[in-house]
Amino acid sequence: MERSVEMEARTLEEATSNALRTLGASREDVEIKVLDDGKAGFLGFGSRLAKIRVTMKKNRKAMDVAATEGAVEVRENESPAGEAPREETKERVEVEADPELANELLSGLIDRMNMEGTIESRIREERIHMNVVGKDSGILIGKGGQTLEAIQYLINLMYSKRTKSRAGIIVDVEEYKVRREKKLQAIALEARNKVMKSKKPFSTSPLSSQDRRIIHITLQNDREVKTVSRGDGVLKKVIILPK
Amino acid sequence: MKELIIYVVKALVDRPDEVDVQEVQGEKTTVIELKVAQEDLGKVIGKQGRTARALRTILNAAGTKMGKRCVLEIIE
Repeated sequence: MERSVEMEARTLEEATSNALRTLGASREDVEIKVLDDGKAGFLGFGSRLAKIRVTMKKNRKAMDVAATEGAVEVRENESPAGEAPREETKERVEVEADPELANELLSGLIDRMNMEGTIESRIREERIHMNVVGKDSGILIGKGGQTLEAIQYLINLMYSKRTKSRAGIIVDVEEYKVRREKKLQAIALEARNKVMKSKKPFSTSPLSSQDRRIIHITLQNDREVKTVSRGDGVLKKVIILPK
Repeated sequence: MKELIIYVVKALVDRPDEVDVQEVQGEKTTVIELKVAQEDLGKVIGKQGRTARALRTILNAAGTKMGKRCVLEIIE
């Protein structure tokens, strides 16, 4: 069986060491293909994650077994891609992320909600991302994404309880969160244009903190407008006003 | 409905054996009564009721699918 993972991270080195940890392999056991060099950007703007595909070389069956046993060996002084491998210090530590457990917990939850869905999972920047696809996606997302938020929150609690670690699992349904982010960016830019024309403040509908964050970030370096949050409770409005 | 709550709550508490869930069927509404060990009460309620709210949210979603209204009552 050929084992390979795709990994994204801020730098190629980070992606490489994450991938090696996931596979439980060392640098010389794998072939690394760079899919995207990534771009540093400025203050997180215009940045692109580096992306690689790491495939186990076929003659290393023993490592395969070690990696599937749950605990993997992590080499502290992992040599960055391109450099000759150095002397390694071996140390056994617990696996940081257990996507199989997360997957099992989520599919158990979806089943018991009498919903149907297929889970696609991957690890990105050491976090487990799971995306559910299927005909019940509308109900699983809920009004304003609130069912999805509840599912993600409960899965994180269940996972943390089981592994006694902090999880940071991200659950999405049909890439809803990705689409939501794009939509909010569009709302922010449209509001900016309105404010510039009218010279009057514009208020969004009440939004969750994650949603407000996207509006603030979209306009944070704008020369013409600034943003503030107004209101009480979980949902607050974002006011966009001329500078 | 009952199974859904049992599944999540048992995974959250320290004493899963003491989790007791009863389903009371009404005409349009189903009431799910949840009992846990005293020391686990905080775990199913959560900070500012966040866990209880999340449980109610997924219960409502499951109920919507079945065309039923479901209410979760946490019994102290």
